[in-house]
Amino acid sequence: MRPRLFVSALLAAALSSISIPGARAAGDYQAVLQARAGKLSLARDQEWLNLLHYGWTLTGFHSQVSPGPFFISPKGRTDPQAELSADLAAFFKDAKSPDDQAQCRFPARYAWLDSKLHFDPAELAPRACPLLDRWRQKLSAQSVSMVFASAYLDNPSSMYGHTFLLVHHAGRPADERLLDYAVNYAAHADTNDGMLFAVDGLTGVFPGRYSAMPYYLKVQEYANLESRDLWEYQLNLSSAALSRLIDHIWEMRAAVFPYYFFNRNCSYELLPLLNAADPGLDLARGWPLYVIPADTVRLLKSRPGLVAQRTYRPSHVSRMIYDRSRLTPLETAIAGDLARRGSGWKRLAALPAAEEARTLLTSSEYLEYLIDYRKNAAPELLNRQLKTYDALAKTGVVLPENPVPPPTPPESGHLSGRLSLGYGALDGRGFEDFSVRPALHSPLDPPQGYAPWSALEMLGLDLRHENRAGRTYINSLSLIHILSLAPLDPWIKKPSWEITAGLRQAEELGKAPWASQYFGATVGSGAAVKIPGLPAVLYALGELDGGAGAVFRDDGRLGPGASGGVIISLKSRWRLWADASYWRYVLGETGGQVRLRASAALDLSRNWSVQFHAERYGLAHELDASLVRYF
Amino acid sequence: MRKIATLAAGAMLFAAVAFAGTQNDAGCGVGSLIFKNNDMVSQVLAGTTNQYLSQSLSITTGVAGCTAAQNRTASIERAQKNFVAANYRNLSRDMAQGQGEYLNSLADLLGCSPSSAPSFGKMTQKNYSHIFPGNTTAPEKVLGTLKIDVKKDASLAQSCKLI
Repeated sequence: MRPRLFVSALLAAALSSISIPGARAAGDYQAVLQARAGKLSLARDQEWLNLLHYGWTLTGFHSQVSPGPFFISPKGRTDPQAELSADLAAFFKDAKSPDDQAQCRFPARYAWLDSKLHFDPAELAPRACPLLDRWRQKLSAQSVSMVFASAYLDNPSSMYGHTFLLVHHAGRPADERLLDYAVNYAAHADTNDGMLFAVDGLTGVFPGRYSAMPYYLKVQEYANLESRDLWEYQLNLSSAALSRLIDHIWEMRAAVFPYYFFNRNCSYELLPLLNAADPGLDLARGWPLYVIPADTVRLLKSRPGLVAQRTYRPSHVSRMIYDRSRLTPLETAIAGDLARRGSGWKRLAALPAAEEARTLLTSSEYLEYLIDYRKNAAPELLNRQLKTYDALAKTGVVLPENPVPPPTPPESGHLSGRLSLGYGALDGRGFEDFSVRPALHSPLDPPQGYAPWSALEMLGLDLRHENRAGRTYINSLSLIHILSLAPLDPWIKKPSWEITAGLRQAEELGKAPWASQYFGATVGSGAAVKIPGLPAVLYALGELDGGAGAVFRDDGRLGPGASGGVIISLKSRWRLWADASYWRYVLGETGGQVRLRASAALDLSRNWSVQFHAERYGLAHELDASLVRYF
Repeated sequence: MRKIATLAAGAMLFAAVAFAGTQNDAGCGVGSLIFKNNDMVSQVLAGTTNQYLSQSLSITTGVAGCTAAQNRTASIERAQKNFVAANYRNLSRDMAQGQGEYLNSLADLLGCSPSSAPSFGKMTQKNYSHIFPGNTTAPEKVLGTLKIDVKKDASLAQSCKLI
């Protein structure tokens, strides 16, 4: 079939014999391409679906991208065929500036359609894309890594860690990363709504966008400002896949997504980019329930051969602690005095040159910590630091590179979710216990790969079935529990704190547990200290505890209190945790309450443990043994 | 608790405000990036959005606020200036200790061959007090002095092409 002949015959018959070759050919050729695309069912091809971020829902295909310039067709968001047809048509059209032309705005789609339909350059002229070319040239992508910034408990958005992509520049030494470009997905909140901010971030109100910046800005932000270790996972992508990735990132300029903290977050949104680059990867299509950044690292590692290499980049504080550990006690004291008091120069001069240099370097790192990246740092600290650097330079010693030994990488920690099945007795009455906790970690869980002496638990549900009464009830539904213990350190000043909120049972009041439900919240702040010679910490927190529920007189209670405890982590297979609390409620159901708890956990394997629990809380005594599985 | 906000403000404002002699960049360039949500309260409450740089850095890697012309002209020099401004104290440390990752990257931006890294480091260590006469020496001045010192060194002047 020769469409051109057919049409020209028709025209010749219907009109005079004047023909307009250009317009006729374009319209025809477009029709040819559309027909070919239909025949090949390209609109249903997984690669097309990946490029437009379509997922299958009950109501048909639905792109995860919000309506907007990402789609050329007004129906593009829910109609892959309409979008494909519109894109093909747009490749022919002129635009105000070369870079606004569809071929330049959507180079990955153009290249893919070209590979399938074999565009005839005489019919569909390939356009020059100056800005896109400069972008490709600027990146000069040789390979790409996924970077994981470890968790930072002090800021809710950073509690689970963060991931972004890093594009390595060809022609630079492999270990020179600072000038590479990082591609990051984040919510762009334009308003300062206070309380609403947090809610908006959870519920997709804010638009999420991709942005690119030099890696050294990311390093400054995470490793320095927030003292977070960075882990770089270099990925094995073919050069074709890499080129597709770069082009697709360019296409994402036009894309806006609703940002959901729990599932459609920074880590999740990197996966579709990788899918578009290499369809064989098939990473997390669809809408997951929740996505934890460390899990996306595990996902990448589960694809054979995808992760080529892992590099650890210590935070500034990790670096400082390690360098300090390599000094003698005398050198440590000098380094501390130099930084804090500006004294110790005479003792310093008595050291041999290499030791003097090491002491000066560590002291300057301590000064950096004290200066704390503040805008208006104390001038004497800055002066002292300059003096330290000056002296270091004058030693003429070039200290060898001293890599900080990497801790357990994030993907090697226990899996994020936790299930447990147990049996116990409350006041002598037996119960079975079932709990599920989607995220993430507590001091009773295997510590490797997580922030030490910490807890971050969200949405934990604990169900009980009491045998004698035959009743099943919710023992607790924990919304949030964060514990951040910072053992006292002569150089690092960080408070320890805890926050808990959720539904609980007030068993301590001695009523039936299924009839003692209330909503409670506790905040505490204090200090912790590491027990010398033992892998253990001792801590004490001053607290404020409140609860609201019909179980209380006046439907609530509020009062101050204190908790103290010890956590021991033996040989990384045993954990013991004992604590004692006292609260004195002054509002509502007044009176004092004492709680004593002791727990032990023993690891059977990486994702199986047994836990034992004993508690005495007010009028209630409880014992419990569970089998725990991490998933 | 760490002053998250002032930390956040620190990195960029520190470079831009503390050092920028004139604002002839007029809001263009890395030095002009400011973290808007400066107070700790809004930082904590903003916690679910994972956003730190409120000025959006577009994918084009032309930093928001720069005209296309500004992006095009002197982009090598701009990259050098931006790097020194944003990594001021890391460079200060690397030059004092005679080696380091930041120093290597700066040498790269100056077009120096990787093999000259050790002598580059030794030179900066030797000339440290010349390059950093005070702790508030402006980044442009540090860069300028560094380039002069590189030119004075015979082998480095040969190997560094983008002085």
